[in-house]
Amino acid sequence: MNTILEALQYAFIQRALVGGVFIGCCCAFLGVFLVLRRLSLIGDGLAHVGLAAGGLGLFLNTQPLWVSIPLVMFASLWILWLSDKADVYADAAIGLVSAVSVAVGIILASVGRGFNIDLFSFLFGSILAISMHEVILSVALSVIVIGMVFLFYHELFAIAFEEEYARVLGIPVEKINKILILCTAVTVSLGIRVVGTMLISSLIIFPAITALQIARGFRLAMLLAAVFSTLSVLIGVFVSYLADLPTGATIVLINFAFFVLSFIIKKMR
Amino acid sequence: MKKAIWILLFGAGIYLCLPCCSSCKQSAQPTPGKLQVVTTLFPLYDFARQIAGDKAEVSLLLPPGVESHSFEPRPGDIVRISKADVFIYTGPLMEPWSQDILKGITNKELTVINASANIQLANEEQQDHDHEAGECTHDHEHEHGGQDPHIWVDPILAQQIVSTIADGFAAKDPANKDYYLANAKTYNEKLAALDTQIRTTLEKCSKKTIVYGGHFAFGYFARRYGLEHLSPYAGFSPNAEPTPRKITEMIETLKKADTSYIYYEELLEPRVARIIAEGAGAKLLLLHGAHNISKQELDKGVTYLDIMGGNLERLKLGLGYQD
Amino acid sequence: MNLIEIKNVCVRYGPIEALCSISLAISAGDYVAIIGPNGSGKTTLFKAILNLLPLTEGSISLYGTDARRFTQWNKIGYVPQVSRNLHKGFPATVREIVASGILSAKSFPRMIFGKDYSKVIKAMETVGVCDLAERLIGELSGGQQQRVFLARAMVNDPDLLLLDEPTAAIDPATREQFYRTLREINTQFGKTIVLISHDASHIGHFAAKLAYLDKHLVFFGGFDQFCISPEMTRYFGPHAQHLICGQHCPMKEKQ
Repeated sequence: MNTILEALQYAFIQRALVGGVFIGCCCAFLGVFLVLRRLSLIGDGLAHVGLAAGGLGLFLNTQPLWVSIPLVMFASLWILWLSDKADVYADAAIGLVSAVSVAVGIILASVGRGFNIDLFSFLFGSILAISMHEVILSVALSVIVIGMVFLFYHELFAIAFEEEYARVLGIPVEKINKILILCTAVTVSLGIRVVGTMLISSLIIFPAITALQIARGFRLAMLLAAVFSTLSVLIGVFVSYLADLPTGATIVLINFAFFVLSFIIKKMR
Repeated sequence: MKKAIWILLFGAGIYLCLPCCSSCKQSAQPTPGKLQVVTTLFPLYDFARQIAGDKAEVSLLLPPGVESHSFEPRPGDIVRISKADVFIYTGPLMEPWSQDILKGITNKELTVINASANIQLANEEQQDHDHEAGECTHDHEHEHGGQDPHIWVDPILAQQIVSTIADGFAAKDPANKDYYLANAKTYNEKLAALDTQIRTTLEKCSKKTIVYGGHFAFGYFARRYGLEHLSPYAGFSPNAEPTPRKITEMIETLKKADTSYIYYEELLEPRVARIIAEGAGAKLLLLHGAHNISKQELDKGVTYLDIMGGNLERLKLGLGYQD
Repeated sequence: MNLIEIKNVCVRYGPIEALCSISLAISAGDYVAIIGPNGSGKTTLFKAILNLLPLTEGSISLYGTDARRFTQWNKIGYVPQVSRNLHKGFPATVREIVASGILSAKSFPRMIFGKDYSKVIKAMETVGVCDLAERLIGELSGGQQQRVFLARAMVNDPDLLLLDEPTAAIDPATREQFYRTLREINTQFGKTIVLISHDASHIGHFAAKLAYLDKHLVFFGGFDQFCISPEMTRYFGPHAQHLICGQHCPMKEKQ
């Protein structure tokens, strides 16, 4: 207990907790919809796009985040278009878009023949190294994303359950899909900068699938996903502090432990 | 069968075209009669060009700004190596990719210079026992297999590298042997002067610990001048993530040590160093490991001596220089 | 008034003709079964009515309004085909699924309030799925899922119900019961029902009218007429028609 209080005195740990919990909740809420719609790998895919976009940003000598957010948004719409209109399966569409982005990124880095700072280090953040500026951005983003999810909860639910039926209900399915995918794009591009790729893709997938194992009801699934996500960040930061382990990887493994636990609970019921 | 031939031809075409296109763009047409030298890291490039003078064309394989540990050669780079007369690299620990490439190169004329050939690499474990703050870096494994490949940061070892390169040039191009050896001698005198300067400067410094927020590449330097170091990272791999405990330990040590400066490494965004600095109320200073340089530095024509001179100025600040 | 009026409709997917020259009018209180072999365009016709796909030719009007401009989707209850594994593992309860039907009566921002839940309970009572309210949709049998979807379609108390293959996932005993429920909804609550079935042998006993579809509309009329229809005789031969019409077939009595 004392060690926890001791850890809490450090500003970087406070920021890791706040930034991690907010980004984690965004990911958890979006994750439930993304996993149910077979788009769970989108976090990984868009992270690759973020890399390419960051390369372009460095190439153009601007702040990479301002290049990567619009480009990742564009790529996410492209994934949506491919899976909706071009009859490409969602997983293949994600693969296609991320492969193209990586290729473009590598060529850009190659043509540019050099940067002033290493591309990877600039793009991939660590949860321990969140700046105050990034905490504010994460909180603002979460307010927007969680607000969107609440505002369109019923629409998102109906579409996740059955897209065609949602259309029959008079729901503007295309618009809602775009909102979901754009929220994901912003979360991912900010998230990779704040907490890193590994953490962002696992925070999208894990809390959602863990909640889906045991939740009896959709509202409950959303709530549980947010709870699992928050707990994994809190426990992960403290455990990594106590046991002297890398924080990001610890959070991922705690998420995995939650998943195994919920799987066992489900089987025992 | 016919199809297979077409595929082969197509593949061969791509294979021949791609590296050609990219390599032609990167370097000017080789001047006949001059030794073509390809080097991997910036210090080797700088040493080689000092020794070679106008008798050879020296080029740097690493694109500016690319962190040397995350570098992967492209096909064009491999072609550049295979077309060169001399290839200089630091050693299999620093450039693990070099071994496979060198095996695959058929150019019998290529002289390969291993810059660390005549140097006994230090074990990292040894270093750990050397300094008090062992808890920050011990019990780990890292990509360099327990040995520290960053030999060039020590001006004395740098002189050995220069001699190794000069001998290699002399063997390859006996006609200009005296020229190379004379250049090397002149340059080694400069390195010796740098060594003296560092020694006298550091003698006047009240503190002996370098607080470093990155992957500590200055092991040989620290040992040479009797310094200690503190780093939150285990080993040199830039992919490793520091643990929160190590960061807090660094903050506490920094607070106690009444040092108001923390050093960070070149080319990587100093996120972790920044956090430690902020936690301890310290300022950030660059300690340039000279693995590679940024595009701006390249355009300015920065040299190894410039970088080390700059480091010394900043070490004066951090280590409490008193005139 | 005709709830659905289909005028000379053609739907093509690229070069493939799914439906052509269909004209059909369904008036209030009707109970129509659309039958026909696989690939005869039954589901396409439903999708066209629900404005889910563009018409190549012709027009469809719902409650007198062109389907493309129609907005009162709460007046139409749609029950999609059930396929058992589709919703496996989906974490929604029956109550949540039924409540989602309410959205057709809402516009942005779509919120569901306490008073809406009384409608949900009423619809679940009508169909008899109240005891399933807190169960997960994926845990239910095909027949139970079908009832849940029927409750969802009825939650806004629509005048018109469209059901796509409602008995496909149901065993024969439950099927009879399901048709009986539909019959009640038709007679007691006065709802217009249009359903698709590939299985003409049973539906005939419950639906008032049959429409036989095979890319073109081959037959549309009452069940009794169906059994003596010369088009149908030409289509199936007397023997098959006899099988479809079963015991009650007037043809058999003639023989």
